Amino acid sequence: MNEKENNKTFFNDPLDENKLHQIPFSVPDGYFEEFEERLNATLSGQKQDGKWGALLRTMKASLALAASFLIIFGLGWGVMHLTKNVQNRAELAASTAEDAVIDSLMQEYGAIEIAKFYESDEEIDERELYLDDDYLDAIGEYVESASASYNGVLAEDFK
Amino acid sequence: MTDKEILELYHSPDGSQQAFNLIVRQYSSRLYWHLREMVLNHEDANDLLQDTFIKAWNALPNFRGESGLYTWLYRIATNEALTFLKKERINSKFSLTSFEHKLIKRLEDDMYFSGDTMQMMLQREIAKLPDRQRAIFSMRYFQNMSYADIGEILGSNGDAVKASYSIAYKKISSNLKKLI
Repeated sequence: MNEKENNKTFFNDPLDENKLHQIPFSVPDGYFEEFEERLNATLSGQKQDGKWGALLRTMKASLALAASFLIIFGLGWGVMHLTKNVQNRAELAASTAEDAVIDSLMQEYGAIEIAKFYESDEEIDERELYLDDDYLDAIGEYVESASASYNGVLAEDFK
Repeated sequence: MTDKEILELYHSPDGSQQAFNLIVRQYSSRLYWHLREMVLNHEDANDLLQDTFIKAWNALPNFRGESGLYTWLYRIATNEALTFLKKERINSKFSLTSFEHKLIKRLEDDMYFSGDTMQMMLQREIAKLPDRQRAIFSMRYFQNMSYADIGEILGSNGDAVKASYSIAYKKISSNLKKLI
């Protein structure tokens, strides 16, 4: 008689078998003896957290939201700050270019007239005492073109 | 020491930790086997047992003793297990294998399964039951608890528990008869 037939012979209801009422699992050696110790260690950690720990756990979501806001704000501020620096540098480059052109013109055409042209707060009539129109136009065009090319070179340097 | 004496110790000055240790010693084994029958895996049963006692420790100051300590602890443990299994079922909806298959696979791979072929067949059939019915079957069949106590643990009445157990029993018995 094989095992299958044997089982059929001995019980009509398989669940009546006494052996089946026993839980067929085991645990690692010393599990229950060590469980109390492990649990107390976990609980003492929880107690050490204290009220602040409990408060932090409760406010976890709010803190995460606030931290996200600060990160976004910080990134925005950083980008704006960096962009502002780039603008400053571009302005600096432009003014430097113009100064360099003026310096070279001063050397070439006579410092006094050109310095007076650029630095005087007086009206144009007075400037005409020192420079005629054609001369002023020529200087203006030269400053404009030279400044533009100088800006290009400086812009390359500032990249 | 009776549950009543343990609770008196708990409410005495400086007695809470000692009383709690007594509760752990008295109930950890029974609650573990109950959880193990529910989740079929030592690691998960161990985690759930820890969670059960942590919840009990936090809730003990408000425990009024209206229900017995024993049913109260079982209620916490059963709720922990049912919540865990519900999450597992939701997670398994995103995988190709069904939750029942996962449970059975877990059972077959368990290095701490110490039963024979017949016991493995029974465990496979139990794993096919809905979670709540499995809790009822486990508490009645393995731990011989009364229908009234099971009803109190599950927030149900004894008759409903009896009917559910009877359905589970017949289903398992019939399936086992076909297998042997």
